Amino acid sequence: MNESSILSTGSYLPESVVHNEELDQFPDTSKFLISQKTGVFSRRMAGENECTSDLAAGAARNCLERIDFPPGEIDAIVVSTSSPDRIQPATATRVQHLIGAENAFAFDINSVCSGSTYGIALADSMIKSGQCENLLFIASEVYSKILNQKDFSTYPFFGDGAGCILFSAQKAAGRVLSSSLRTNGMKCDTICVPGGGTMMPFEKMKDPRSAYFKMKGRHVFSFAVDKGSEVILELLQSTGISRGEIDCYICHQANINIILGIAEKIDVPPDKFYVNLFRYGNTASASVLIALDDALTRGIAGKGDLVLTAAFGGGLSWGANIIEL
Amino acid sequence: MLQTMRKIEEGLQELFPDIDDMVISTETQLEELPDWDSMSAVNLQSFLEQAFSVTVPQDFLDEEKTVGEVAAFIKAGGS
Repeated sequence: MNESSILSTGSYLPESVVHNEELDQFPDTSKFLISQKTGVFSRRMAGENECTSDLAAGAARNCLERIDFPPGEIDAIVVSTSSPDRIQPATATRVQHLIGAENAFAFDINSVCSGSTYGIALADSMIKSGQCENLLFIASEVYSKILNQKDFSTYPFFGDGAGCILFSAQKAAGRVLSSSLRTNGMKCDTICVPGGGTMMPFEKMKDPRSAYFKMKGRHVFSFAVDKGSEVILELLQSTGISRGEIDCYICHQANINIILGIAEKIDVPPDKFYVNLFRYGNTASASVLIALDDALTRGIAGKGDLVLTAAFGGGLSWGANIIEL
Repeated sequence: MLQTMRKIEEGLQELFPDIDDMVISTETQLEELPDWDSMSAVNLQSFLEQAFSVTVPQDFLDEEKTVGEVAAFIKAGGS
């Protein structure tokens, strides 16, 4: 089995910053609820002509430029997205073109908000199996274009952004120690975009708003706290690593109250959890990779640290990874 | 009143698609609506304000309110 290392990370957030107060479609008297219920004060929003692959390419360039890594040496690109450019082809194919990685094969994965943890596990396995030598794993989301702008129960939660990790068979300090992935397909309707696929093709849609993202908020909250904490404890137990040995916990940046709920449930001080959803909102599968890159560039996490990443979302799906930086 | 109820019912069907075959009556409490929470309350507030050109105070739509009480409030011209 080959070794698998993490060579670099990167991220890309669109320029446009939208604060809660600027969401004019909602009553002024209700805007305080956004930060109160979610912890989100602002989010980044993709430009009119920016799509998921543009953000992904931005994160990829940022990741490669940091270590001056030539795109031609990448042999695989995996993009996690639940808000793809189009139903087909894979968003990853346009990313390959945009960054000039002409020697790479490219495909997408979709595990909704858990995509970061699934992608980290997949990328690590692909390197270890010898399938490829340099793999760019990118998570990129543009939820602002799949949400109903008038829906207060979804729109204010989310933001757009992309994060990236370069995995390699080259020996380096960073590595994935272990991963745990879980799915409960019985709950596949809890978070979904009902229309536009083969279950409800366009001609069968009674209402064009069926093509918008929907979630059952109350169910999702308890699911995220329960399963998020469960998978963290399972992974720690299976690796023999104690809660206290983890230097930094990075959970999917869905909602501050979910993160605080998980911290309480696993009995870890909340200040061990890196949080940036105040600025960026919930960027779906991109949130863990953006937060990881953010924590590294701000010096909150560094070489030799143990980082535990955990995510939960549509599927229902959830997962966690332990990374040694 | 009947016309107001009908319009509110249409709005609820639109805002809460999981209502499906649930019978909405004047006695239905807002918390009985599938996925009712403080965030979806804002969606209903926005709908009522636009559909009936009234002002609905943010704390009016609490979970124990019935659809009938909401209709009566609208009929009386809002706040």
